Amino acid sequence: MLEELLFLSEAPAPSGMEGARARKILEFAASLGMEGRADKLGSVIIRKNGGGRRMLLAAPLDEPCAVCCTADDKGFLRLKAIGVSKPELYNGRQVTFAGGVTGVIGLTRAKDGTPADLWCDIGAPDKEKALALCPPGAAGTFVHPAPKLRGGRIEGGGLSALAGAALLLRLIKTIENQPGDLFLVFHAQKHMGHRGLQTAAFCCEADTAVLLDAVPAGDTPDAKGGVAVDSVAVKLSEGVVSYDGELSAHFLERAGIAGVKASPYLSPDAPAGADAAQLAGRGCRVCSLALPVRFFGAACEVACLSAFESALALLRDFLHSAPAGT
Amino acid sequence: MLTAIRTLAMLPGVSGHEDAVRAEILARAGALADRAYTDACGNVLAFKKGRKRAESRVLLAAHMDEVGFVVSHVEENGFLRFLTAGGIETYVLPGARVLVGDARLPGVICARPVHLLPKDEKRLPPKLSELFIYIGADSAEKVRKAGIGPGDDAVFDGGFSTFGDGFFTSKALDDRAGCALLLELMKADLEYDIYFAFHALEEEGLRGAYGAAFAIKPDIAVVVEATTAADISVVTPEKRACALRRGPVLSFLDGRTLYDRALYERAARIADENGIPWQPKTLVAGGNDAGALQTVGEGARVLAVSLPCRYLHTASCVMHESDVANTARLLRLICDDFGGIKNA
Amino acid sequence: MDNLVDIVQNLSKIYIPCGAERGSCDALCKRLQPLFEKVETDALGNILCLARKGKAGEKRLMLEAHIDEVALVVSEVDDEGFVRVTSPYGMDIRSVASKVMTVHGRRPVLGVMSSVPPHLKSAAKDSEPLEWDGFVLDVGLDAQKARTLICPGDRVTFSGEPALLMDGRITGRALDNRAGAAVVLRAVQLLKRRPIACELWALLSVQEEASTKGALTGAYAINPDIAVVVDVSFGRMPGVETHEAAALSGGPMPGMAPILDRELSKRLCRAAEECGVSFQPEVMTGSTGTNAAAVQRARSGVRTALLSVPLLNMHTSGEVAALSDIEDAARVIARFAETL
Repeated sequence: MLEELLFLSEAPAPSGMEGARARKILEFAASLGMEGRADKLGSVIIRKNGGGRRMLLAAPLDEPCAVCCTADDKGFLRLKAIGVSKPELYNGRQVTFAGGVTGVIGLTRAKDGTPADLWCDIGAPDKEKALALCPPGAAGTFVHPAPKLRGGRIEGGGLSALAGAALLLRLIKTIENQPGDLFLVFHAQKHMGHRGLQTAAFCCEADTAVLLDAVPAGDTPDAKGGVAVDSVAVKLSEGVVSYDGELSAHFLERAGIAGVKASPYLSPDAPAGADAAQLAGRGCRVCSLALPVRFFGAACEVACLSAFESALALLRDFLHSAPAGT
Repeated sequence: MLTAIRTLAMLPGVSGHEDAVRAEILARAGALADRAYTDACGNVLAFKKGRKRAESRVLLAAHMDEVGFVVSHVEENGFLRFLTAGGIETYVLPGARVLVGDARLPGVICARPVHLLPKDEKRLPPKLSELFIYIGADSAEKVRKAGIGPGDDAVFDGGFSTFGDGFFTSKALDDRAGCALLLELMKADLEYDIYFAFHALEEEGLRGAYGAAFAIKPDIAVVVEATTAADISVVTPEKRACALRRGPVLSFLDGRTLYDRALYERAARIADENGIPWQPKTLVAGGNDAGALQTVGEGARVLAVSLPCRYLHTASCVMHESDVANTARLLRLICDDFGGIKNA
Repeated sequence: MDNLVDIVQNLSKIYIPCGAERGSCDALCKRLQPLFEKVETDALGNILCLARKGKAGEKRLMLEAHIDEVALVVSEVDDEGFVRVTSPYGMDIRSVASKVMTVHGRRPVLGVMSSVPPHLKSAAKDSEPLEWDGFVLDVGLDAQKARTLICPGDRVTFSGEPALLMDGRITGRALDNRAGAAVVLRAVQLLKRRPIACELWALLSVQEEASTKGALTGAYAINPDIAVVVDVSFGRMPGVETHEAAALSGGPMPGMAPILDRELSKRLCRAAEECGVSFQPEVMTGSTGTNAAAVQRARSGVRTALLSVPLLNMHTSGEVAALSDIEDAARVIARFAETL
């Protein structure tokens, strides 16, 4: 897992500008003899033919970012955050823009103290110089400590953004002969409402899809219960978005048989566009596996290596044993 | 016993409109007791001779009325305004099925659709004035032709179901279950003479009990009621009052009555000596016919032996069959004991 | 399925909880087969039914009604054996206390939704909003046993079958939208004996109560030229403004909205007039809150009309519709199809 995380994080991928990371993945796929392309939104689509049932395996390509909109007279940038669900986690975070420009994020607050907007100190004295360094539209990615492996735990930043992609990448590395037509997709602009997943799913016309992702772990003192960090989360529903009951039950059952830790995951919030794969074209039966991450969205997060390995095992098993009719 | 409870619970008997259940109880009591008759309040009173003459006059009482509704006004468009007879929370009403009037016409309680409510009202319990019974008639004239008018009663229509491990649910378990227990006692060969009262109008101010107590003048009155159990996980333990599956509930104090301490302890002892589980009512709340029986005329010593019941005053009261069995056993022992208490 | 009452009652007896429709939809398919040439489900569970294959050059007409019903989702079985729920699909919280419900777990499990009796409530609580975590579903089982039957994610619906009121009214859970589905099936029935010059499809869709998007994939697959979406809308009662709702038994409600095809809306009204059926137009803007929003957007766009049946008590355990409105809506659609 560490290897894949480090590989992916070498290239930044703010939503809408994932090109650098997409290229790395495509080059890597080519080195394994797998054909791939990027679609109009920048999603990476790698195809592995096997004939028969069409299956889509998808993970997000982009990471949360902050886009420069303007600057104020004192030279502070005004940013629009993308993929940031808890603004208070970003106060004081370092951010990097293209060309080596770095800055530190601050928050403005509404009257009742809730976070309102992000601003950024890049050390510019006035508006003109600020925008020269960082023009409107420039996307900054958040700096975080590099992931490290410590006794079965991965500690570091970017885990929530990259866990799904890391899983998919590892699967690609180790994929053997399997039945069916596989579409291995790193979808762009997840944080803008799964837009890349929508277009990629439309192209792939899959019968079944497994979405790979990360979710907040539910086993810390401040959590109200949920999936433990060393367990694989099998998503059942997120708000009004439901995942295929039969496929989800299949994952949980297979996990039980294999002695692999997996738990059902339900969340009251529906991430925008999460049903994109289900609704594309003629529709698709969609389920989702996710890695639980502690301190979700914070500069330093924690995930569990065994959960990663478990998810991988479940996925491999699914490629061979998916229920009939899927 | 469940069949007996079911039969009684399914009959309509809103306070002040107990006719159907009164007729049934009168018929049964008439067949089982030595004397059974009705009085001006609408109570059914009965007397059953025992093997011995009682030292104290003992009355066992339950109430036969249930909470329900009374049509107050027929709107021009056929919808019926109504009032509640007995305390019913409005938030159990939207969508509830009812049976209206002597003809028992099916109806539904209607509230404004949640979609059309302003955001801050979508989760508020509705006001009674915003709820209407709809029987399918779209004009006051059609309602009139159907034989329904102001003053008619409406009763919950929900059916009787068993579920889970030994649980059952129905309307009116408060207090048809108590009535069924009394009728069951009447079948037995009792040690002492016992008076039985099936009160009307308990839910509207214990009015049947006042009348019955004045006529019978009991020394000891044992009220057999359904008492509220809030043993569900969203209620903190100290507020649960009592629990299902822990046996009959003996009350020492409720919202209205301080029960006779000696009788309370005596009943507890009888239960312990006979291996019958029992529980005290641990929350001071609610009231029952004992409030009337204790204070009428020269007064009486009162005790309440109750069946724990979840979701009181709804269409889905819930009880457990083990509590029915244990309460039946305890009541029989109490009847055969209390009759021998010498009058001080 | 023969007469209208049977159609409505048979449809209403099946539990099809939003987001977990597949099992029921597969079962429903078998019962639909006598009425259609071809019946199949898609990836989401939508049921696509071909009623009449068209000849070359004929337009393709799709009648649509959602068949999912509002439901709750089990979040956990707590340590005392009570079931906790969440409500993503719009069930009216003012309608659940003390109602008998069915948990669709390993097998259907009967339960009672809790209520707190008057004696134990403080006066202050009367004006406080109800909260879902203040309710538990009582299934009468200890935690261990309950957990063998019920899992997080299982759906919970109201229990019960419909009942008839006087004057041809029918009441029960899920008339939203079994009433609409009955209109579609009835219309197909009526059209079997009539010559029409179009290909006829019926789409019974899922997940409308979740997102009104489930019909998208069905409409994509069928690819109609013209669609009529059938749903329920608000029935008049005291406290609901005359302009916000329609009278039960006053006839079906042709929809008028920017996203609906104006000519088709007019044709529905004309069809009603030709049948001698009174109708009550309903004007909306925005998405209309129905599957018309999804159907209109399929592929390169579909000319879409909407016809609704007045309903009281929407999203409660005791919804009410008039059978005459359901029958009249079917007659209007049949006439509409004839004139295409």
